[in-house]
Amino acid sequence: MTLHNTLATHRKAAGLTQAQLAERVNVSRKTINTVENAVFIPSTLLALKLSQALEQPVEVLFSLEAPS
Amino acid sequence: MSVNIVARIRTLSNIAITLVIAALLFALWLGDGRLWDKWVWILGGVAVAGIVAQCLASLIFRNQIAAAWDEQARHLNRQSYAFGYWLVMATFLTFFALTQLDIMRPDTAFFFMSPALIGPSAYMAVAALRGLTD
Repeated sequence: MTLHNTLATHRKAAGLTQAQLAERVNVSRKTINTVENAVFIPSTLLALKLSQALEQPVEVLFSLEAPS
Repeated sequence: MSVNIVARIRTLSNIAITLVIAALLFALWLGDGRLWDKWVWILGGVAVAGIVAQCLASLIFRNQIAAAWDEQARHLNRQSYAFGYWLVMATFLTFFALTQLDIMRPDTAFFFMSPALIGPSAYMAVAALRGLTD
């Protein structure tokens, strides 16, 4: 099982750049980039912050299987 | 494009110390194990300058500290210490064996072992160059 995310999709739908989203959740732009590219697995805290910033349930942003 | 000054100075410090150590090794190789005695001051100066620069940047750009040291940066930092630990273990055992087998003099082994101490800095510098952190 791998962690998949739809972070980039929802970020773009919200009209945010990586830098803007990073500023909202108080991390670096590089962290947003590596999370979107599945290079870095965010902590629960960061995942919840992203969920809050994008106004999406965390289960929509992150899943254990590839979205159908 | 936003630039995190605190993170950039951290990266520059890591690159600087890594390059100075690399230059030290090259000078050792060129000088057949003999070193200009001022090298210690250059090395120490670069290290201290890096620390001072990071402290000053953190004081001046306080609002950038959280992003510079976010969870990915802290994760990489922990990985760099683990890398440094195992690098020191490996180099110590290697050069200890070489000295015991009389392949290398102890003072030469000491000089070649010391660069292992910059393992964490080199790891963080490479992470930044790979785009994992600013």
